[in-house]
Amino acid sequence: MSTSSERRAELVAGAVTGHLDEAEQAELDALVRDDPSVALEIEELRAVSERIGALGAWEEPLPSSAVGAPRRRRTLIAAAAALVAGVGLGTAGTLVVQQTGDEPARTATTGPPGTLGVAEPVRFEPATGAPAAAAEVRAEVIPHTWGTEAVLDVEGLAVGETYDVRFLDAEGSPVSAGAFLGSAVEIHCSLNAAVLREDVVTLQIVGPDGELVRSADLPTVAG
Amino acid sequence: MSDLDLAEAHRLHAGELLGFAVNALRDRGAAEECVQDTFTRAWQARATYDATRASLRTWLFAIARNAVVDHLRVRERRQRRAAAAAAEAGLEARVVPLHRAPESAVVEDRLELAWALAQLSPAHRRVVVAVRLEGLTYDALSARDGVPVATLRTRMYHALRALRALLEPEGEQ
Repeated sequence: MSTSSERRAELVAGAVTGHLDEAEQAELDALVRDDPSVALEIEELRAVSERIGALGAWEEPLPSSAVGAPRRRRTLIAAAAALVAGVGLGTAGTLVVQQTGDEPARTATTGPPGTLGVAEPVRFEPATGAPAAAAEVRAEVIPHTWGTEAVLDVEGLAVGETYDVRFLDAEGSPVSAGAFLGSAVEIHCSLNAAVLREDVVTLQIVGPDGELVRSADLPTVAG
Repeated sequence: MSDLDLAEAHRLHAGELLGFAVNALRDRGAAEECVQDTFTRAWQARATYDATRASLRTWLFAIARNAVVDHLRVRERRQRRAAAAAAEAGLEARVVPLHRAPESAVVEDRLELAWALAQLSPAHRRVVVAVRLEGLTYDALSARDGVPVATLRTRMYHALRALRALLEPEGEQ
């Protein structure tokens, strides 16, 4: 029986971190008998995993925290953003300055849905339409005072095609957060919609022919 | 200027560069200065950026690494001067080394690990941090994040492979 690449990956990861149960260990042993390179890979990845342990801890700064420090520092960084944007700030540069100006210094890293600056994992409904169903799409939404940000990790969508990202409000009206192009490499992008988190109920990614690539209902924000 | 949009790059990548700097330096203020320095250097070196050789993100991470190393060197030199001044004043017994030069094996290793981990996607990094640094099981992480165990393990696998590639010395990739 051949083992799918996904199952192989699960078994290798479980072995590397020491989380296989008895049945899984037997499954892995059989896999190693068929393909000795699996044992080598486990050994190599275990070395990486153990090395990472030397970090001890990891601090995950808020996505906008590079411009989220006290106002004096934010002003300096906004000035740097102005510098890199050139003499006339474009839309993105303007956005940076707006981000720095209207939000208080924040230190929150967790909180219920709707907490400013706190990323909420998005749970997409299972996709059915091929070939987009085969793509891997992960997302988080981040509430801001100026709107709602969608942070996407995408792999496997059609290269060069345009995908729209939008939020729906309670009446089902769409508010665009922008668009991205399918790429041959993993995409990490951040898109913003001018609508407050408490006013949106759904996040959608729509393909070039209007097909729904992914959709997720977002948790209701407590009033 | 080339077609490099550094304002957009700042919007997309400043957060993850800060993640690298914060975890390499363990000093939030210094990390923010390094991120600012990174974009200033990128602006100054924009003519040398070649999109056919590296992605903008990879290029920025390389610049950020240099910025953090330079910061560590300056910090270490400042401390040595302070220690020398204190010694002259007869206060050597009270001088406690706070920072080590970037060449120190411990500092260098933390810098490299932070640099690699910061370049993972948030979803991949989240599972590595939870399982390897926070000691969670996949089951516990699944309950916390609502992500199936199989997906978490697959993410761990791809994350470790990415880390292996990032941590390999140049020439061995």
